[in-house]
Amino acid sequence: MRRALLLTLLLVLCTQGVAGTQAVVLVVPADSNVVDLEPVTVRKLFLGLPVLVNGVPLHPFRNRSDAQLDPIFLQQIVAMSQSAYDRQILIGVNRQGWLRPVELTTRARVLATLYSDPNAVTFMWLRDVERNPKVRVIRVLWSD
Amino acid sequence: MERLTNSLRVRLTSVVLVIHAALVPLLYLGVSAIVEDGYAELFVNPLRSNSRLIADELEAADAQEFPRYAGALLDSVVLSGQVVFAEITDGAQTLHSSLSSVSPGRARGDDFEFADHGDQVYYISHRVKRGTRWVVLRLGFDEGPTLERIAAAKRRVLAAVLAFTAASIAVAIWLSAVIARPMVRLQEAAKRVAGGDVHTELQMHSSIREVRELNHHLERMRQELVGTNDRLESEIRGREASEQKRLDLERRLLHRERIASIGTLAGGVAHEFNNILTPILLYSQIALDDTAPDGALARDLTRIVAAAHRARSLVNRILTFSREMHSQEPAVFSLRPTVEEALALMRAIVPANIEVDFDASEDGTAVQGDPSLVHQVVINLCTNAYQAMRRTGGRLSVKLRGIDNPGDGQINPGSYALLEVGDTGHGMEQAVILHIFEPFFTTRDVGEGTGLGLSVVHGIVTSMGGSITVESAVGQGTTFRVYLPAAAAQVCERSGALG
Amino acid sequence: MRVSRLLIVLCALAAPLARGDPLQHEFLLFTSAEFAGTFDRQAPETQVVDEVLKADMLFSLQHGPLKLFGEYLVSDHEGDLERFQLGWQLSDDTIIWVGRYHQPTSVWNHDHHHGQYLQTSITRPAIDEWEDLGGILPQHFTGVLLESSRPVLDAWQLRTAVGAGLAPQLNPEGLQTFNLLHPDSNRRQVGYQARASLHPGEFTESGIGALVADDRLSAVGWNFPPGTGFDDVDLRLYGVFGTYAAAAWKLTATVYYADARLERHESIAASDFIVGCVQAERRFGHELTGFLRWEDSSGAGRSQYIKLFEEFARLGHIAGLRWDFAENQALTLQLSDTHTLNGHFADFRLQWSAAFF
Repeated sequence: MRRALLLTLLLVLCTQGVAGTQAVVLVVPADSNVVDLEPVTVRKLFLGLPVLVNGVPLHPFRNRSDAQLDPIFLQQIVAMSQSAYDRQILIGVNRQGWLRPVELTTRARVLATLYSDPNAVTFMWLRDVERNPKVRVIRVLWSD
Repeated sequence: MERLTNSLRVRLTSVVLVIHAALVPLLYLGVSAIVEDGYAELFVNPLRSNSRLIADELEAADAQEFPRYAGALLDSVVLSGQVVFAEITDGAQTLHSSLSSVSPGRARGDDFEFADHGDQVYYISHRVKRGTRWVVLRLGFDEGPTLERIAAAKRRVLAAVLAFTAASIAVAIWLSAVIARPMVRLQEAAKRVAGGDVHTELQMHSSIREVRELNHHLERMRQELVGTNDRLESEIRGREASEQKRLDLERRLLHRERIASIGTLAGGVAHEFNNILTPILLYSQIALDDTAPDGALARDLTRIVAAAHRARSLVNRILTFSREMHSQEPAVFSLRPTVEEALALMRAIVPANIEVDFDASEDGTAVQGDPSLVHQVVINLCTNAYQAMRRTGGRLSVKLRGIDNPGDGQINPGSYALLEVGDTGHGMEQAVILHIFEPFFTTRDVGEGTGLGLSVVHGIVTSMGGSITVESAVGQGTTFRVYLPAAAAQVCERSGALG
Repeated sequence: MRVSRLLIVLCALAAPLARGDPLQHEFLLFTSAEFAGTFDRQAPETQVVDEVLKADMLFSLQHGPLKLFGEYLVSDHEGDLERFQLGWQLSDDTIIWVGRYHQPTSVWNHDHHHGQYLQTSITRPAIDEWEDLGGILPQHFTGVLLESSRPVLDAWQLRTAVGAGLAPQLNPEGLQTFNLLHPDSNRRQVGYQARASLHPGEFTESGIGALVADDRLSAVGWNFPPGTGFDDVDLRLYGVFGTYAAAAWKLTATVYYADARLERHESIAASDFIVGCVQAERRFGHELTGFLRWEDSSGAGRSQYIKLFEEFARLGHIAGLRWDFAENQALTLQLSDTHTLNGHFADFRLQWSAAFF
C-alpha cells in the first residue's frame, strides 16, 4: 500500500511535468491490484496475450472514444500498424483462442467498465481521469 | 462536321474516350493511393516496432552504465541508416546523437501518420522509465527514401496507366472500327438497294450477332423487294398487253361497226337500186323483143339491157358485201383445190414479170362455207396483189396451212385455216390501211377499180366466222392473212352452242 | 471420481465469477472459396476437388484463467468440430488444455490451423495434410496439451508444447480421428508429441525448433487375408524446422524423419522415410505476395507405411501469387506439380479467403 502511494505520488509529479500538454495514460480501477505494467507487458496485454496478476488475468479494453487515441494506441502501446495489429490478433485467436481487447467507443463506457471490472486495464487522456478518484493512473504512455 | 460526329465509329470512340477520361484519373489516383498506403505501411510498422524495441532496451539498461550505453545506442540506431535523429531527454538534460543529421532544435512533435508535417522525418517518442525518473526517447526516421520509392512507384503506375490507356484506346478505336465496318457496309448496301440495284445479294460476314441479324433481315427485305418488283413488272406488262388488246378490240369493233353501217347503207341502196333496175331490165328486154333486131332502136335497147345487167352485177356485189347476198348451202370443203383453181386463173392473167408461188399443206385447211365465195376471196386478193406489182414486177406468194391460234389479241383462240397472200409491191401507208375494207375506197385512178374488192373479201370472211388482217410496209409489200375457222372446230363450237 | 473432477471444473469456472469477472468471449470466422482443376493428369486418384467452400468458426470463452476454445469447420463437403479445448491458464506464458487438439509438432498447425486466410499458399505440404484429405500423419488428438512460451537467454523466447492423446485409427480409408460430436468406441491408442522452438522475440515469426512424436495407431481392416497384415502402427517422428521472416521475405523449412513400424504379434515391418519441404514467400509492396514451395521425400517409395496412402505426394512443386486486395480478404492463385506414388498430375487453384471478426 505504501509502495502504491509512493508510485501514485511519483506519477503525479511526473504528470505535473506535462501539465498544459496532452498525455495518454494507462489506467486501472482504483481498487485494482495492478501497480505498474512494463511496456512489454502492456503490449502483450493489448495484443491479446494472457497477462495474469496474482493468478488473475487482466482484461484489456481498447479506448476508441476519441479518434486521436487510435494512432497513439498503435504507435505507443502495440507498436505496429493497424493491419499488422489485426493480423497479430487473428494469429492469436486462431492459435490459442486469445481474446482481443474489447473496444469501447464512448468515454462513459470506458469509465463504467473501469468502475465495474477490477481487472480492467485501459488507456485514456490524462485530462479525463486526473481528478477521478475511482481510476488510478499507472503509467504515462505518451505526451506531446 | 455534324455528319462526322453522328457516325457510329466516331460516337463509339467518343464514348470510350469519355469513359477513359473519367475512369483513368480515378484508376491512377486509386492505384497510387494503394501504393502509397502500402509503402507507408511498410515504413510505419517496422519503425514503430523497432523504436519500441529500442525504448525497451533503454529501459532495461543498467543504471550505472546508462549514460555511456544510451549514447552508444543512439549512435548505433543512427548508424543503422534509417534513423536521422535520436535523443534522450528528461526535460532538463538532453543526450543527442552526434551522428544525427537533424539538429535538436529542428525536431518537431510526434508523427502518427506517414509524411505528417511534411518534413520528411517521422518523429516518434517513447517514455522510458529510469528507476524513479522518466526520460523521453525521441527518434526521427528518414521518410525520404520511402517518399522517393512512392514517387517512383507512382511514376511507374502513371506509365502503366498511360500505357494501358493508350492500348485500350487503340483497342477501342479498332473495336469501334470493327463494329462500325459492317454497319457502314450494310449502309452502303442499303443505299445501293435504295438506288435500284436490288439484285446484288447482301453478304455480310461479321462475328457480331446483331450485325449478322441485321444483314439477314435486310437481305430478306431485299428479296421481298425483288419479288415485289418482279410481280409489279409482270402486272404492268399484263396490264399493258390487256390495254393493247382492249384497244385493238375497240378499234376492230369500231372498224366493223363502220363497215357494217356502210354495208347496211350500201345494202339498202342496192335493194332500192335493184328494185329500180328490175323494171328497167324487164321493160328494156320486152321492148327489145318487140323491136326489129337490126334497127337502131334494137341496138340502143341492147345497150340499155347490157348496162342494166352491169348495174345488177354491181348491185349483187354490193349485196355480197352487205352479207345479204344469197349463197349456197354451207358445206365442209378443203381450201386447197379452191385456191389452186383460183390461182390457175390468176396465172393466166398476171404478166410474166410477176412470179406466183403457192405453198400449201393439207392439214387443218378444211373449212365450212361456200367454195365459190372463197374462190372470189382468192381472186380479189391476188388481183389486188398483181395490180400492186403491175409496173415493177415481183413475187406473188400464196400460203395455206392450218394453225392453232392461242389468241393474240386480233384473232380469237382456236384452230384456223390460214391463207396468206403476199406481194412485194409498193405497199400501203397506215392511213390507207385503216380504210381499205371500206366499200368504194380505192387508191387507183378513176375507172380502174370500183373499190369494192377488199370490202367484198371482208364481207365473205366475216360471214364465214373468220378474220382478215393486213401487214404492209411502204416499198416492201403487203401481206393479207385470212383466218377461216377450221371445220372440226367450227362443228364442235356449234354443237357446243346447241347443247 | 468423475463427480469430483466435474466439481473441480465447476469450481474453477465459478471462482472468477465469484470475483466479479465478466465473461469474456471471442468469435472469429475464416471463410474461403476455392476452385481447382487438374491437367497433365496421369495419376488415377488425386485429392483435388473442383470447388470447396469453407467456413471455419473459432470461438473462445474465458472466465478468469479458465478458457474454452473451439474450432468448427463446415464446408460443402464436411462439417467437423476440429478443436475443442478446455484450458487453464497456469501463468502468463503457460496453459494446459484438455480436449481435441491439433498435434503441436506441425509448424503448419501452430501457425495456421484451419485458418485459410492466414496461410499464404492454398494447400498445405503433403506431410502436414489433414487426415480426411489423405494426410499420412495424425493431426487430431484427444487428450492433454501443455503449451508454454517463456523468455530465455535474455531476449529470446522459448515456445514449447507437449501433448498426449488418443491417436486416430488407421483403416483402409485412411486415418480416422476421434469425433467429439459422434464418438465411437473403436480401439485407439495414445500418441505423444513434443515441440520446442526458439524465437528471437515474443512476436516474431522467425525461429528454429525441433519436434518429436511417438504415435501408436490401431490398425483395422488390414488383416486380409487372415493371418497377414498388421494390427498396430508405431509411428515415430523426429523433425527440425526453421522460419526466417524479414521485412519482405519469409522462408519456412521443415524436415521430418519418420520411422514407421507395422506390427502384428511378434512380427514387425519397419520402414523409414524422410520428408521435407521449403517454402519461400516474397512480398511485393504491401498487397502482393509471391510464393514457391518445394516438397521432396526419400524412402517414400519403399515405405510400407506410405504405401498405405496411394495419394501421398512424394514430390511436389508449387508456385503462386496472393493478393490482399481488401482488408482481411485475399485472392490466391496457385499452380502445383505433384508426383504421387502412382503417378503425376498438375493442378491450378484459385481461392478467395477472408477473416471476419
